[in-house]
Amino acid sequence: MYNSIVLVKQVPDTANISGKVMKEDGTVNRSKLPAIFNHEDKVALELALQVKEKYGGKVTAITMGPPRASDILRECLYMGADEVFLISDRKFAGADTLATSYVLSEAINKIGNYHFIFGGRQAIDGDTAQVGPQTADKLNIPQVTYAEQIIDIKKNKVTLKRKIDGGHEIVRAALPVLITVIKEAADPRPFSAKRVMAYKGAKSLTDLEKLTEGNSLLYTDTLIHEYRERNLFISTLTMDDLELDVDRCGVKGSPTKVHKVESVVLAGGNQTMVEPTKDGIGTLIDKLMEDHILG
Amino acid sequence: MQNLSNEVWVFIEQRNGKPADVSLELLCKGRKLAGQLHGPLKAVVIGEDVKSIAADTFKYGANEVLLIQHKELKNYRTLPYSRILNDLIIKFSPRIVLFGATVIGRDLAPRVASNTKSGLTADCTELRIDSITYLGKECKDILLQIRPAFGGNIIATIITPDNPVQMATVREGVMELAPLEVPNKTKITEISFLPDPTDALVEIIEQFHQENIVNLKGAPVIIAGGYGLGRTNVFTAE
Repeated sequence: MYNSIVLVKQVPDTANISGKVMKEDGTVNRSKLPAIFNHEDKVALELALQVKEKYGGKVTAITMGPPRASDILRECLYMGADEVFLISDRKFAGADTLATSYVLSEAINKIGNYHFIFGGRQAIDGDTAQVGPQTADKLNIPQVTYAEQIIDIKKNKVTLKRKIDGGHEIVRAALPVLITVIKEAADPRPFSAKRVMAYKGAKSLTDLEKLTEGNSLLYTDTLIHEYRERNLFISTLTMDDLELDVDRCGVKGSPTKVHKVESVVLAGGNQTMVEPTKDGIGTLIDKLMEDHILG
Repeated sequence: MQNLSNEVWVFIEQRNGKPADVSLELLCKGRKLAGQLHGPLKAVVIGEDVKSIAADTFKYGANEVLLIQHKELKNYRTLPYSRILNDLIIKFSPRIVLFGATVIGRDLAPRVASNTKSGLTADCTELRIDSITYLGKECKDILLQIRPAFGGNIIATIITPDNPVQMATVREGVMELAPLEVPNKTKITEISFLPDPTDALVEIIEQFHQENIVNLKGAPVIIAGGYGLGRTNVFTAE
């Protein structure tokens, strides 16, 4: 039996920039980007589920983020996670990787009883790959980054294949260990229809507060109780729940600061519309010949 | 914050007694940064029998090498390597520490930054020393760490205004490799290493290497083509 905690993150979909999120000056309107489940974290969850299927145990997914990050926790439940936690507090906002790893490591200590911590190698918004190793350091456990395959687990040791520059290596790590995975490690399974039906109504504290807002017949506490009974409550861990040092959270706990941001201008040059007719094509060819591009 | 150090350190990555190109590139950049801070450039060389690597670093601008040699350190492993750096950084508190943004650098730097509570910026494309005002506060000779973020849609300048140690990783080929015409004087400080039982928590069973067949960085001309070309044979030179 091996228990896993999986670190997941909701990220803006920076890979698929469409015209809809572009501002007129050719820069990206970041607030309009759709929020998605960071792919490598999904791969990490898949690996944790495979460990559970092969050896038994429990899979817990956790994310630190704003209330709407509970979207990806529901997706974790659809894939097969046993329990999920939303780690959310206004005081966590603006955290760099050091402050994030502090909060995550304390949440992991609170959840406890784990053999594996899995996470994606990096998230596509910052691409830093720092939170994994920084969390491992704070938990004082070994780390294996860039993992691409679990070869076996026995006698409280895991043998893994990991990518290195210009090749790969096989390593054996004692448990508990933190593992970050690259996308080649697994193909995340599709959502199970049964689980979607079972968990689509799962709600976090903020979700329930929204339900009771302006409805004097509903009480948040009653709803929490009811949702918990039905196994549909997404537990939220706040600063107070984790008894954290406020100076190590959010902007305050972040040594790195963003001094300046310049948007990359993705604007194209002038465009000329060519009608898909014989005349249109003729005009295009004339124009190209005139510019010495053709002929 | 008083009496900040003016030392710039570069972690020298090595494999089988050869330094990684990116580490030498970082020495060249580090030399300029150290010059602006009027401080020394130090190379941290860790491995087994790596004195020759230490000697190489003086050609690229190192003023001093911190050399840690032990047979247990032949191959990079996170725990012993990070322990060495943690101890050195806590003891000497350098102003800037640079790592290559390689698999090793990206495994090691965050662990060390966490342990020493330092600021770390990944994959910088430019590093510069400048004096700026941040939130009304004068920051003199601070490291500006410039990097793309958000999938390359923004370019951010990151600073570490309140911490004594500023760390960054840089990818290979980003900084220019410019050896000195006359190498610096050799100064090697050997630091002893004591193995620890925790070092064995992760063991390397086997390693496979395949050297790059194509050296893109060394090529005088690179011709690229889009998907629309369909076949590779269209690249055949006439």
